[in-house]
Amino acid sequence: MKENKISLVVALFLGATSLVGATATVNGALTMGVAVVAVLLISSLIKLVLKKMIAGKIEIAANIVIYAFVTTLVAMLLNAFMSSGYKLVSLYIAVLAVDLLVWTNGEKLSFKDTVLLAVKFFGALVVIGAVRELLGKGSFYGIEIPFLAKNTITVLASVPGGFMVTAFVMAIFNKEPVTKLTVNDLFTCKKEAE
Amino acid sequence: MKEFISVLISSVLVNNVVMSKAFGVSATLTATNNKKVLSTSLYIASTMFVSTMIAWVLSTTVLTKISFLNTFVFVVVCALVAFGFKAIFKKDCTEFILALLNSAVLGLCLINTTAEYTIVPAISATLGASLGLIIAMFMYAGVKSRINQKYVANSFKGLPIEILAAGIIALAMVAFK
Repeated sequence: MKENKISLVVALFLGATSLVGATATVNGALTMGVAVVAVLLISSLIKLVLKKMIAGKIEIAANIVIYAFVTTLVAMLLNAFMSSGYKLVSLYIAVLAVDLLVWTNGEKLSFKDTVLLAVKFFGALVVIGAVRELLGKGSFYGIEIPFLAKNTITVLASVPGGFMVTAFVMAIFNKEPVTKLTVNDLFTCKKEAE
Repeated sequence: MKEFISVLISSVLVNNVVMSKAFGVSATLTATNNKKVLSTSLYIASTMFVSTMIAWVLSTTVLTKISFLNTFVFVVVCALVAFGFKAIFKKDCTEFILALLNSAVLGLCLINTTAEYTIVPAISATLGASLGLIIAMFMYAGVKSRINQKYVANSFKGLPIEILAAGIIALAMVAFK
């Protein structure tokens, strides 16, 4: 975090809302993944272009408009092209406009790192979605799997199960534990205090 | 009155925005890191109440025919309310950012809109969700203060154990269904 970077575990923690809420099925997780990647990339491209114009006092206000615009745009596109998954997770996609992960990335990372992180986050979403649907509902992308369909762990299909699977996925990548995460690690607060 | 109380209780305990819908988990967990849990939670909850009520009024009057703009307008409303509260209560930047970037606020605006409440259930649902946020923050803070990082397995140290603890709290809340 010192070198102006956020590690994968921190990123997974910041994006916990989408990781937990939208991954009850693989279809929803895929749609959410596409949404997260699209929002991250489009917003960081826009911010890259407008870098000099939005520096200083208006930065937060400009960010609000940019993220709200991009999220609305992505939500509309997904509604048109991936509507079956969009219906499952529409609320969680709309909430991406104020997601800590999206905001932190715009603040801290270069464009290349954002791409890498977005791909990793997409992978995490799909893995969590697959685990939860396979074990919780006994199916994969809506197709029933004979043995698992009879022996389901129902808690995994609900929100508490989502928290647990997310925690286990985070534990896999947890090399340097961050014991206390504060806002000052993520954002530079001095700018708008002036 | 009966409707008011039933919606209130169900949105505090059963449909808690943070614990049973997972909105704004990361912001809420980060907010419990500092010592002033009561003032921070009251601040975020009051931001939530005011912005959700404004959003509900807008969604029933202005936005009825242009509902595709819901998200955009609600984000701007939430941000304006957060800026206003920051100026009124003279909070520092960290609390302001946690109130601004708490997806529970925006999530509640959208939930209330899709549920198509009339005025009484809208007020009680919003009030209940704000109380639920305070309860959730206190539960997170309480459980987190009891985690002794010394005895946690290496891979779970730090952030993963926080998410796991949040999951166990959410599991406890399932019992209210």
